[in-house]
Amino acid sequence: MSVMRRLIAIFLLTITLNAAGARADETVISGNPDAAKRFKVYLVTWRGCEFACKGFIEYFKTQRIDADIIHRDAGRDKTKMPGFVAEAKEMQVDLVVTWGTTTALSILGTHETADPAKHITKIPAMFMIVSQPVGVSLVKDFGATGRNITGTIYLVPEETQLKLAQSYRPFKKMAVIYNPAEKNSVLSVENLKAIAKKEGWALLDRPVPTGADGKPDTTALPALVAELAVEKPEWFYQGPDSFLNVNRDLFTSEAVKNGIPVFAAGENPVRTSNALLGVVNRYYNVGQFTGARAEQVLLKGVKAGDMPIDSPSRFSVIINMQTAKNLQLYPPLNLLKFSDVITETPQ
Amino acid sequence: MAVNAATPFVGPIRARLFGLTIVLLLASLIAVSFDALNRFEADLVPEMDKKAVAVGQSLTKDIQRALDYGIPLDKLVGVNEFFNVTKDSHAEIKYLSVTDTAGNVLFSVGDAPGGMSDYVQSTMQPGHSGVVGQLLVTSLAVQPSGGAQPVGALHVGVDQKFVQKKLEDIIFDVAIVLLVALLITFELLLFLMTTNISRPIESVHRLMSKVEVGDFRQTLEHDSRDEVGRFVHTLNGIILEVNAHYRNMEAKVNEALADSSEAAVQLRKKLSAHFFQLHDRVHTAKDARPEEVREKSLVDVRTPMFIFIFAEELSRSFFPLYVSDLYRPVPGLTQDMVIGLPISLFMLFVAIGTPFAGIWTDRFGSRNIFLAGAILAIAGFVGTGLAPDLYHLLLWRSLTAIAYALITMSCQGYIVAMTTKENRAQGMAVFIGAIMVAAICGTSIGGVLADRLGFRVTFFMSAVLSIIAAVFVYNTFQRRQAESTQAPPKLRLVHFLQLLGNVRFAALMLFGAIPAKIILTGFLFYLTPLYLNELGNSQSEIGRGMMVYFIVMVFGTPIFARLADTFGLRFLPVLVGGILAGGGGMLMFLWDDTLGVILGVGLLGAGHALSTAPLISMVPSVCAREVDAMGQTTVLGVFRILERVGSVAGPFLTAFLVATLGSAHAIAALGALVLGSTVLLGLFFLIAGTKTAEEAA
Repeated sequence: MSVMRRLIAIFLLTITLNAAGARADETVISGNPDAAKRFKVYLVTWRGCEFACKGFIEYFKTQRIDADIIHRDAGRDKTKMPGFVAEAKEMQVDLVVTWGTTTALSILGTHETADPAKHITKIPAMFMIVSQPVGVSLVKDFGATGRNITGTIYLVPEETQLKLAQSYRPFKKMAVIYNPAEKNSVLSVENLKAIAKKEGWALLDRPVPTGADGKPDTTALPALVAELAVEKPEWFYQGPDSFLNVNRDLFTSEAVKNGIPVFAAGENPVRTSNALLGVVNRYYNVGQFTGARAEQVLLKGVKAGDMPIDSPSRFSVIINMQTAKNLQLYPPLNLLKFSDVITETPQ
Repeated sequence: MAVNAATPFVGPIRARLFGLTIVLLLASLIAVSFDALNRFEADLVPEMDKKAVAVGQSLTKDIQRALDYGIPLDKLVGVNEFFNVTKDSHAEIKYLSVTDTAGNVLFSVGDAPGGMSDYVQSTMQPGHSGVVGQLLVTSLAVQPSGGAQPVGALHVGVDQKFVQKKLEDIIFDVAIVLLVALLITFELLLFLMTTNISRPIESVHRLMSKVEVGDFRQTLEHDSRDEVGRFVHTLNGIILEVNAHYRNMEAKVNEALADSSEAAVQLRKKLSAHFFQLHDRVHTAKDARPEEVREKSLVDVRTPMFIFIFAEELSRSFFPLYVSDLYRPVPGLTQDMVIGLPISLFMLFVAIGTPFAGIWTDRFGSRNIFLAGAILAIAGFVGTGLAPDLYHLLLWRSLTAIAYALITMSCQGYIVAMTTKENRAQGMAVFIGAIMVAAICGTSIGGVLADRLGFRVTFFMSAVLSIIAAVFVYNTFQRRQAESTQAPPKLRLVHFLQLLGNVRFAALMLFGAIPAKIILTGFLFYLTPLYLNELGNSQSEIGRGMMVYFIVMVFGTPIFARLADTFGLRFLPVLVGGILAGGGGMLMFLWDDTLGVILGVGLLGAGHALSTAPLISMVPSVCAREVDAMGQTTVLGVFRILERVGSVAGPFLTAFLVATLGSAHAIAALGALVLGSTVLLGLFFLIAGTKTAEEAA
């Protein structure tokens, strides 16, 4: 059985190499190596071109990669997705890149449900800013997918995040509020529970109640924060939760009002709101990192399906100094030494 | 140091020359050393101060950044952890603190000597240094950037003892270099003086004595162009001339004898009386060609042997540490055992190689075997220095061990060939003296080299020294060596069995010789470098500590030997030596710090200085019958081989002890082993007597 499989593999490899060789020969004969042909990269975002999207585009610019980036923004509208899939196929682009979990699932499908009719399956594709690619079944694991897709992750492993939170302010209790409708958030809370159990601290978790319209109820947030604050947790944790990210100003300022710092898995709550500490891969860096992997696929001929899911190797610690002052919770010097410090919070 | 007694002229010349050279050398070395120390001392203190300032500036920069973010000085968080990172990575920094403008200590780490709070309260000047107790305290201003007013001060306390310790280390290193320079100079002087002055003068003296009695059959081989050379050249010329004249005269006499005229007969009568008188008195060379004689000297052996042993001993103080750098698990052995393995293997290969090296020396001559050994040694040292892992190391060290066996045996063979039975012991003493002095120099300088250049480069230095030794031998050893006066003993299994059947011999081996080797390789060679390193000593310090053994041996051995001879003692020194050596190891039960180890090493040296020679000299007397049957050389050969069982087992046994007892107690256990064996040896001979009844009768 395995011998047979190996023989087939060798056979396929030989064909591929021969084919590659033949193509190289043609190129030499024509004497005009792909000059006429510019690469076409189809980039789909969920809510405008933010830092990761900018990082990706600027990587292509600084590396002078001869490519047109066709940027399509869904504007948080899922119904636009089938149109994008059709357009990418029609334009015969060389690479499809998606931003965010919803976009990735709509364009690429899960590893079980991917359908050549509805999704991008033949064109190489790459996802970024997906917090739980395995949790949402986008891919089976972090290894090479074998499908024609790969991706980058942006979350720093929870253990690492929590270790840094401990070094800023040691804790025995941590509170987390999440949107139960978001799979990402639910998975993240489950992870936290497991770590809390292992490390011997208490996790206070509360789902956001659903409003009359069936959507999570924003107005319930202040009460929820106040209710948890009574238990005196040392930290609030803001995970990869879209609802909380949208409502980050309200959530973080309520937490500060109650005298409890917010520790975020993302950049925005610290950079543009009042979270105290964030341990993140900066979106811009993730965008650049994704750009470098796109370059491998386009120029170096690496197959997307052969690349494991990966993240930038260096994460950033971001501290909001205004919040530190408001809470009188200053960072320890050893942590401050290698942190990005936000001194002014744009309101 | 030729074996023959010095002539009346040579002795005083040599003594005066030596004296003068040593005095001049000592004076200049001491002057240079003092100068070096003064410079070092003058540079060290400002260096330490500079370092305190540099460390302080890096700390204030980080604090400044926090201040710039608007964190008030007294609200800084995690300052102690922050300071500890710096304090832990700089051994000399013992104290760090921050004070506010009023001089109140806000944060501090390390032990503040009394008076520190008063001192910091009064000190706010940036860059100001002062002494508080044992600490040299440097203070720096702490302020937000942009030229704002200082909000406090940072104080960095550097331990003055550290400065002192550094200085002491350098003094020791300089002293070691001084001692070694003296010893090496002594060796070189010995070589130069013997080859250039005392040997030619002695040779001339001997030749003149022959000429005095009418013996013109020899000239001297000597090719130097100095005064001595010219003198020898002239003397040779005169002898050749005498030979030529004599031959000439002989021819004329023969011619005259052939003539039968009356006048000739008359002349013959007159001549024959004179001529035959002369003929009886004078001996000339056949064909008027005197034999060219070159006198051999023990220095020919001593110098290259010294250089080679020096090379080999360079790694003595760090070898086990080098092995642990290359450590790789070996199935079935603990880590401690693996680290002991190369030493054991080395001893094993020396033991196996020695008998063969003896046979080969006899067959191919000392010169060839020494040169072959030197080539192997050079390869061995370079290979050891480059070894990427343990297995390569084992290979190259085994090769070096074979080289060691070849070189030592070729030198012994040379000595045997040029000495007679009467002065052989003296010859061997010269040889062993060179080995011991080389061990002093090599062990100590090796430590200094390893500290400054690293382990691997030190091995390359050993290779270079081996090349020099080979060049010496290439030039001085004679190509065709005189036949060895005595064939090396052929050791057979039956010899071992017969000797071990002698309970006295077996007891001497088991309770005396083998434990002595076990503690030598186990404690000194294997564990001392590892344990002294564990106690935080530098390579130079380890080398110095181990050197103590060899120093005590070099100076103790002749003194103890004379004492033992004077009082006709053999057995007592063996017992006292065993008790000293064992007691030195057992000292670790009470005193397991660096000084204790060095004291133990010194006692081991004293013990061995006392017991080694008497133990060997006891062998023939307890084996009188075997000596009669197979000869003393064979008996001693068996003794030497069996004794090496201890050398091979030492590191392994010690590794096992370390794993179960820890380093200090392992040394103590080795000491207890030696002490226990010595007691058993004493009891045994007390009951059994040193001679059998029939031998006594």
